Amino acid sequence: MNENVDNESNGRDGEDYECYICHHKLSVERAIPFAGGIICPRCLRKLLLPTLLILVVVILVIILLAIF
Amino acid sequence: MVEEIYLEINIIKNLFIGRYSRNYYKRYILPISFSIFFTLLIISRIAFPGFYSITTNAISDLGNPILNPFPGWFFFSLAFWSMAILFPPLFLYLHHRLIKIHKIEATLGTISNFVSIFGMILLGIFPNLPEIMTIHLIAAVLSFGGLGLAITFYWLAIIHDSIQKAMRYHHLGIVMILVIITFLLAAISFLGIFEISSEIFLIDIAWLLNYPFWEWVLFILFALQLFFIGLIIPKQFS
Repeated sequence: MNENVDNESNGRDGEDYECYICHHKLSVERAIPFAGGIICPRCLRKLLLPTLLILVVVILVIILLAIF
Repeated sequence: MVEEIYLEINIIKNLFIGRYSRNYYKRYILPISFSIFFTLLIISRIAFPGFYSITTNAISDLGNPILNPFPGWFFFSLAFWSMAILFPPLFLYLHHRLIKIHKIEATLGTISNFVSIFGMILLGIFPNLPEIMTIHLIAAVLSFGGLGLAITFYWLAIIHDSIQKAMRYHHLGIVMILVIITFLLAAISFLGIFEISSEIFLIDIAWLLNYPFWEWVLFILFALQLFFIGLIIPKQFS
């Protein structure tokens, strides 16, 4: 497993992928497959945090309605 | 002339089976489908006599001929029947995209969506009248359960590779966000379907709010998820 990771990291010289949102070049370590595309960790966080926030708000509303 | 008709039939067929571009999904299919469905539902709500609250009135109350006399209940039934035509183009588009990423999750999601459509058609046929309440609640569980499972499977197909890679390269923040979102989605869906199911057997196991409220929560959450999943899928796959 570790050997594979090392080979993968060393085999490419860093910038083989492109984020489908910000179009920045990415190294293997930062290129995350998501929904059939490649995305950088920063854009993925930006994409998912609002979803997480909406879900937390939904849960809070449910809890509040259940209490009062 | 014959060729033109054949071409038009082909275009309609491709739209119905979800073979179109992301722009089409974003600009036409999603807004048109949602507009038709919600307009019919809103008309049904406007026609509803008296007070209507989402914490005490089920969605199905809009389709009850006693609580919502003609034409109110008819617009409710039309809204759910329209889903048989409006919904397949939406989820088959997602299916064609997601099957290229993960075949099993995408297929299970799409089967669940077909179960959900069957439930929605039944919801339009069998209102929540006391004599046919059991079949109505079974239809509700099929439609909500199917939709909940479908969206969970589609979501799993989307994040399957992300989680593996994020764990391998120690992007712990991303792993946490993905796991928490998946857990919350599954928890809300499971709890909601459980609460709705508890009404079928008239067992007093509903411990958190009434099933009408859960119907509305799941309904809005699933619609938002469908919208979100469609938008995050990139134009072209890498």
